[in-house]
Amino acid sequence: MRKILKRVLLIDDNEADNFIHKIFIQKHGGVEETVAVTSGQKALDYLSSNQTGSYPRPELIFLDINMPRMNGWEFLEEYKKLDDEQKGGVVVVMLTTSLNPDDKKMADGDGNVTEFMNKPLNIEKFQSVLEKYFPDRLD
Amino acid sequence: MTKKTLDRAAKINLLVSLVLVLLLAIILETLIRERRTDAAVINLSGRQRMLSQKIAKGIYTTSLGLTSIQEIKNDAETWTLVHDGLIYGNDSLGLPSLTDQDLLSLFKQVEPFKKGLLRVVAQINETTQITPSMLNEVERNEQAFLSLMDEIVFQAEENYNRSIFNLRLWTLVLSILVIVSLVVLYFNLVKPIIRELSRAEGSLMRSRQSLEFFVKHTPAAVAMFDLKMDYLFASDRWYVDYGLEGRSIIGKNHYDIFPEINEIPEWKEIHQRILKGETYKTDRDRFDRADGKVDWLKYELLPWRDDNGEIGGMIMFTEVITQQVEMQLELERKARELEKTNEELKHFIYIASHDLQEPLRTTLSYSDLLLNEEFNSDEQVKQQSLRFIGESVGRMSTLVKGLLDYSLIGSDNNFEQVDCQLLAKEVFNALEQKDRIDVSIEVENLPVVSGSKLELTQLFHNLIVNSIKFVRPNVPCLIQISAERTNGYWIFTFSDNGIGIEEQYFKQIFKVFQRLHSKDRVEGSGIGLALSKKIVEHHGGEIWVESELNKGTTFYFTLVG
Repeated sequence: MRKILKRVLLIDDNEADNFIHKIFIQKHGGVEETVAVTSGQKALDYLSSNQTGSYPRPELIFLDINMPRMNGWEFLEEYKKLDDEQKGGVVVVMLTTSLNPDDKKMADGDGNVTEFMNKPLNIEKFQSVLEKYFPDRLD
Repeated sequence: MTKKTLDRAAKINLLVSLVLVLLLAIILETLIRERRTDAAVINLSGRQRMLSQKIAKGIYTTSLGLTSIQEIKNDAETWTLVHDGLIYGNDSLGLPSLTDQDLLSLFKQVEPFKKGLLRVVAQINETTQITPSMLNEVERNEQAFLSLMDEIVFQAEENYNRSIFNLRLWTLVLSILVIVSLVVLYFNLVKPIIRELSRAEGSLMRSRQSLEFFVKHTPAAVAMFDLKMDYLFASDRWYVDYGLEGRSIIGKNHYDIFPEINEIPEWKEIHQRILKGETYKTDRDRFDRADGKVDWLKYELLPWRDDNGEIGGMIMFTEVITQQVEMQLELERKARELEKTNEELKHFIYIASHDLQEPLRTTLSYSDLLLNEEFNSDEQVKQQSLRFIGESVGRMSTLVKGLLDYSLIGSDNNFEQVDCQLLAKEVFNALEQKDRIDVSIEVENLPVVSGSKLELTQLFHNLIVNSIKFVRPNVPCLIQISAERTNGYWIFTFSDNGIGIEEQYFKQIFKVFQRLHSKDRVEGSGIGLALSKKIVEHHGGEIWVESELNKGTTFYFTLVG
């Protein structure tokens, strides 16, 4: 399959979730590289790492909210402070259960959040995200 | 007797006394003047007698040239003037006209002899020869005159004595009358006033007694104080409510009876304000008693005033509402407890929906994956899936067990004396045998406390395990446990030299399932510290943490000794 996205970042403390999400994205086949990290701090480290003269800048980030120490919201606070050239593209917030009103309010005030999605991610959900945010690359 | 009749009686009495005194003065004045006239009559009559003798002697001696005729005639003139004055009165001599009949008749008898003597005086002149018949005439008239004048003096003296007697009599009578008037005044006025006063005093005493009776038996704790805060009286209830039965407090100072008030300067200040005229009322105030008991009071303080409107002291109306307040406080405590339980319950629901659902969802996802032919052909995927399913189920089991432990805390109320020194060593030895850990522990003089042995074991276990779990790589784990006594509590100190916790997480770590570390780094249910907190709180204590990153963590908790 033709590669639609170059890089996708998964941020989730749950190793099992990361593993299965990775399997689905790989099965989907539209992504060149899928990187999974287990904490917000590791994600920030990854995003600001400069290995080959440029930053990773994943076009799509899946962010788990319910994480110990630095949760998804706290990660977003730090994410905002990154340079624009370090930031990725679309940020999809992953929720364990349905969205509660407080979280929704919090996300509405955050310009970096573009989408909400309930766990777990599967091939169909991933396809719909691509169709919504990257329609021009799909033809 | 009414005030009006008393007033009238007093006025009449005073008027009578005044009239009597005036009368006495007039009578005395009259009598004294009369007596003065008598004295003048006596005095002048004596002088007339002497003058008549001088005239007679003058006539005898004139022929011898010893007395001048002119001198005799002058004497005779004076003698006549005074004589007429005695009878008819003469202002220049201070004589009134004579009214006394006895004296008047005596003066009538004297008249011919006076004239006889004057006739002889008239006959003589420078050329006249004094004849024996003339001398005879002088002798006869003068003798008669002298004896009659003696009689007049005698009579005047008698009059004088009589008027003295009258004076005495009148003085006596009037004095008696004045005395009688004064006696009447006493009985009419002074006596009724005294009677009225004593009656008023009696009724005052009776009203005071009934007031005291009323206060004594009033079903409230009431006390009355003077300006020095000495007790004037207090109700029976005052003695009962404040444990003063059998003690005598009247006349004693409030602050001596309750020395603990000296520790409450606000109260003394309020008392001073009351004594300056303010009032004070409160529905609930705490009273720390000398024996350590806490009483709750509802009271009102008022100044009381004497007849002149001056503040005489203070009245305290108090009600001991300790039982009521304790019940209220207990109720408030229960309400807080309930609120906390509700909070916990909410948290439980959150946990059930998130933390328990997470391993469930993982299990479900991987079982789906295994059933999906697109994926299950891959041996690596199969192996991983089974591993994650196993881990999720294990984790679920740990969570459920943790929740069960958590829910059971607070149900063991069989408190016993627990030797913490022994307990810490037992827990540590058990862990060491089971896990062969490389940890050194220093336990220092831990006290014996009252508590649930089961729960305290769990507490020590959790804290030791927590320290072991968060060791710094390549730093041998050292745990130090000690205790210190402060304010009736034991403060336990649980220190390690592990990785430490950032300050922002000091509160969060005590919540159920709040984990600071990814599951891939440190294993645990995330319930250990929440359990520890609940155990300490069940024992009436508090738990908190202090820590520095990469230095170590110290947990503190208090237990009642």
